[in-house]
Amino acid sequence: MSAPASSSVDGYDARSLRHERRMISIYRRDAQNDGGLLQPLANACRRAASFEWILFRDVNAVRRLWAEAARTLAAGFTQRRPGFDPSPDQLILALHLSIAAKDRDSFTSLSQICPDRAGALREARAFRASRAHFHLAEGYTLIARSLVERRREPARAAVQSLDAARRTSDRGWWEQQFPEPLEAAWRLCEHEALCALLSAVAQVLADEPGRGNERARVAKINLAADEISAIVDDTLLLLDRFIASDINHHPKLYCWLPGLALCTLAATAGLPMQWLLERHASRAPGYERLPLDLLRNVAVPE
Amino acid sequence: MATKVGIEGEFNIAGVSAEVRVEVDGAGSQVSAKVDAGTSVSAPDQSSAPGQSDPAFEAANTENPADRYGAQARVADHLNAGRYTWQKLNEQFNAALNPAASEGEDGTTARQPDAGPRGYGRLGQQAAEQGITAQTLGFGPGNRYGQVGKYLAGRDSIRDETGALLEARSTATTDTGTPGALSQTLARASSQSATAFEGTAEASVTWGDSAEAKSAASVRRTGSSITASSATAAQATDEPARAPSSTTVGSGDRELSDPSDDFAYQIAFKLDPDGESDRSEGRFVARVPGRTARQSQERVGGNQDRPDYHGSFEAEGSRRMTGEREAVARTSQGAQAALATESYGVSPNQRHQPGGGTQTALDQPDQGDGPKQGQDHAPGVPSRDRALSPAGVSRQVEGPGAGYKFGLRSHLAGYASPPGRAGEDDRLALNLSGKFTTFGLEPAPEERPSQPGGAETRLVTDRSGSSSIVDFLSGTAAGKTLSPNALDVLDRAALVVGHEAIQNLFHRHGERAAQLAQQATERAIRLCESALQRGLRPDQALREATGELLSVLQLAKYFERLEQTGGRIVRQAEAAVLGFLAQQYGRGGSEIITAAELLRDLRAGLFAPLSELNNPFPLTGRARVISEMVELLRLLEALAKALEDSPARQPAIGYGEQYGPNQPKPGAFSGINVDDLVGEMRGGRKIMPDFSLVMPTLPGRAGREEIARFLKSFTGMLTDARGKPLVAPDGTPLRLGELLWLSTAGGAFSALLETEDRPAHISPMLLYGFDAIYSVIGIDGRALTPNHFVAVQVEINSSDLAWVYGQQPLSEGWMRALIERLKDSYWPEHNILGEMLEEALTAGRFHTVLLRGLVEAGQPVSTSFHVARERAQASISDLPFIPGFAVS
Repeated sequence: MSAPASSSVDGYDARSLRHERRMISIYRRDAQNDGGLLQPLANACRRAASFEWILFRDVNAVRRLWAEAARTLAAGFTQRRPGFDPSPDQLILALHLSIAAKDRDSFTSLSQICPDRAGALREARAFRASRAHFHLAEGYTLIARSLVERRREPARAAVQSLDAARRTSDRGWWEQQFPEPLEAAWRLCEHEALCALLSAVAQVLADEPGRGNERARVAKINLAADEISAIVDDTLLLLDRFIASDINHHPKLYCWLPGLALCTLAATAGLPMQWLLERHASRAPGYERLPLDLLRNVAVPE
Repeated sequence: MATKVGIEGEFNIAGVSAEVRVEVDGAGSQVSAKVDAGTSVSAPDQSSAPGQSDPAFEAANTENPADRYGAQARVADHLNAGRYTWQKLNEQFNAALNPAASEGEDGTTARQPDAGPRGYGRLGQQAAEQGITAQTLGFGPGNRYGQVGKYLAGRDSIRDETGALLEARSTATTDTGTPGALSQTLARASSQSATAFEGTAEASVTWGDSAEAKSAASVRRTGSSITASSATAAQATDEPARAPSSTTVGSGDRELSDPSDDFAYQIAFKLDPDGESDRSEGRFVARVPGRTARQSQERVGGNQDRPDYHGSFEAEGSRRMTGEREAVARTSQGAQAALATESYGVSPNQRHQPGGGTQTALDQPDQGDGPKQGQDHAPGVPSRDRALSPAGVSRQVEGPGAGYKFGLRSHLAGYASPPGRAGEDDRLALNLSGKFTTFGLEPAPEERPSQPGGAETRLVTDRSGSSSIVDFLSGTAAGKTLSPNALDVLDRAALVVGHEAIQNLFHRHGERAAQLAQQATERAIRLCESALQRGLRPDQALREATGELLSVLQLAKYFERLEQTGGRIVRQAEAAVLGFLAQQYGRGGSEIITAAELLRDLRAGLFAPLSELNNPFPLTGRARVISEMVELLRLLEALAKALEDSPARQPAIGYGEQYGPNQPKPGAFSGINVDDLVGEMRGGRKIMPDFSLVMPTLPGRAGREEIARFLKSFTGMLTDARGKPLVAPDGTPLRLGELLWLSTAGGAFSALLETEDRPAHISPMLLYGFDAIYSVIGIDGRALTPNHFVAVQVEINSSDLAWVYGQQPLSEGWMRALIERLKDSYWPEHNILGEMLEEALTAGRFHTVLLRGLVEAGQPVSTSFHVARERAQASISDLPFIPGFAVS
């Protein structure tokens, strides 16, 4: 795991979990009246979930915290609570959390958000200057909508949005926003991986089963699964390298939440996931951040 | 008249070889040119163009692992030429590496990889099928196709199984002198080992049956010895029917010595056309900039039949061991062959080897640039004339030679004219050039005195470690002298930035950049070894070293972009910055200014002239860039002067002292009371040696250090211009208590508490985090329960505070992002501080004030500083939004 071996001994995880639990209770109490605390509450839930996982491997506790975080952020976006910063990175995070937690309600409500300049992200402050984030949020939401509404048009639009998200990702911007060069490199890589993974899913969703050769369609799906596995391989390796290069703690990376969410999404889209079992069986490097326990029972968020 | 001219060259230097063979057939205005690489280009009225294929080229597509580099080189060439898109490059690479892969089982074209990460993965998979795996590239066991593919796609060089790095670039141009020109490139690279190599270069020009000129050079290295040889020969016959008379046009001898840190060159060159000459000429030039010596001799040789025989030989040496030599042979029949070879290297620790026999120390002052034609050799420097065999040019270097690099660039050119008709219109000319470079030759490790901690604590296995790191980062060495730890981290840095970016930096600034990298890595090694000797993990030091190198590259990229607007002055400023940074790293000490810090100030526009602040028509574009660069140059000059005047310091070795157990950590400490601080200041005792009141420094740092001076003036009470307390929750005025965090001056406090030797403050958490954090106490000095805190941020010269982590400066999201960095810090003190601040922020007990002021020439304008409660949050409409974004 990413935490140094001594961290548990030193009590970093346990101490931090106590703090996050304390903050969660404070945020829960005050967020009723202050929309500005919704994002901190979601963040505290996410951090607490990481510590729960690393300390106790409690799948239910982790999913419960993720679900609370997803619902909190979804409330911020859908209710437009004063003080809440409806930024694209938070919308992306909310979708990750809702899928990983298999929380149908938040997933459904997030899928109805229109993440454009005149829509839910109009008041965004954070990541306001990052075109790539807006496109990614848009593509992600469109895929969610495609799943929820069982329509293929949103998925087709998502392909274009995700392509734009890749094209508009500027390395200079990442380096300026994340002064640590290795972190900037990781963030950029993660962004590209998310775009590629979502694109693979979107292309499968956009494909009409009735059209063309069924054999060709199966081949296409298998090809998409191959692509997803290759991307996840590479990304987890880079994540390992990033973690190993930094002695600081990265509790949010104890598990790779976007990877968990997108693997769940891929399974939801009907993509074969045999490769994931094979990776775990062969103890492929980096896959401990994509634990099967958190993926099993991949209930489809309809 | 039918004429045939051929030229061929072969390079095999440090595992890189290239073979080119060009033949031109001409008859009147009809010209046919052919490159023996299986490619043929003819003039429109080609009379004959044999299309035979080259076995070497054929072999490039075989499954022989050594030949795959031919395909790689061609792909790299296409990439360099910029003619290929990623997709096309993929196809080219796949087809070249594995022709069968481009076709399906049924003969149809197989699926081509898509662009993006998937494409990298497929490319890596293709490479793996050819034996290029993550293991062979040294990525470590865990890597996969994507990294391999990405690596290969981004570079025109690859490493072979032995770890030697190959680079092959060649250009060949054939100018027929008549309508129709030929340009073709072929390079084939192979590698034997990183520790031994042999390279040869050869050129030949033939002119029908009447004249032929050949020139050859070879370099061989085994262990620590290097032998270079070259020979030039020409033969000519006036009549084809007559038996050709062989004539040695010239041969030379050069030897290399290094009496000090400088490099001396001695070359003897003799033209001896088989003793028949009545006139010969050799020329030699050697220089060592700074302590330069130059030697030149020239002789013109020939005989009664060929009076205009001419040969010259030039060499040039410098501190970087730059050598250049040129051999030209002309025949009276109008054929000319030229070989120019530039060899260069770096040998920081090389010493003169006594008893070398033929070495001569050259210690005369520099006599200017470039060799002078016909100049006699320098007085007191014996010439080295002796008859040698055609391959008798030799050079041998033995001895410590730690860390030297050696390279060879060759240029071959051939000209041919019909006998007796030189210069006429139907003259044919061929130009062929190849450029091959190798670095990173690593001589045998030198004995080093044992150090405390034992050899197992050292990250670099010999003294050439610093240059090895530089070579490794630039992709020209396998880093075999580096420990696995160092190699791993540096490999990450190279992967993040790319060898190409580092090479570009060296290309742009050559010696300055190399010096900077050398100093930075040496310092990193000092820090790492210091940590290991204290039983600490070197991770942090290695990470900082890597981060600093990355910052240097980011800085270089910033200047490169700026140069497009600002022009030459930007490059001058960049060169000055690199020199300054190198001086900083070499100097060490606590107040070291890093590339990351400088980059932050540049990005924030802190170098704009103060006169611009109130200008109703502010400068824009090029004018603004130039004005900022001028200010930067002025500041660097002031800094250099101040550093010269300051006492010399020992290099920083304080990693363990700084980060050891139970030691204060940079940026976070407790127990310093403002009253005590103010008392110290009032007493006139300078407790902060880095104070900007004494030394000029970067504008941002000067402003952050001004926080302490400000506290002295206000005795901890933060008030606005009218004297109204700024920190007064519930109407009760409060004042500052303990200083909990001070980013820049935090190091100064740390130095005060412990030692002046510490690593640079390059952590973004320090650079881009809170400038200062204080606890807040009652006006009467009583502690508050619960605690209140104040963060003081500095705004210099009305610049914009930097957006980091996607957050608007001073917004709650920004504060939470910085707090989260503290919570994730490796140091428990930071974690606890972060947790306290989060609770205080949520409860409204964490306040923010902004300190505004001016800094000029690295010195704060003390009367300009004042405190604002908080920067007013911009309305949403004022924030930048992505232009033209609309959902499709």
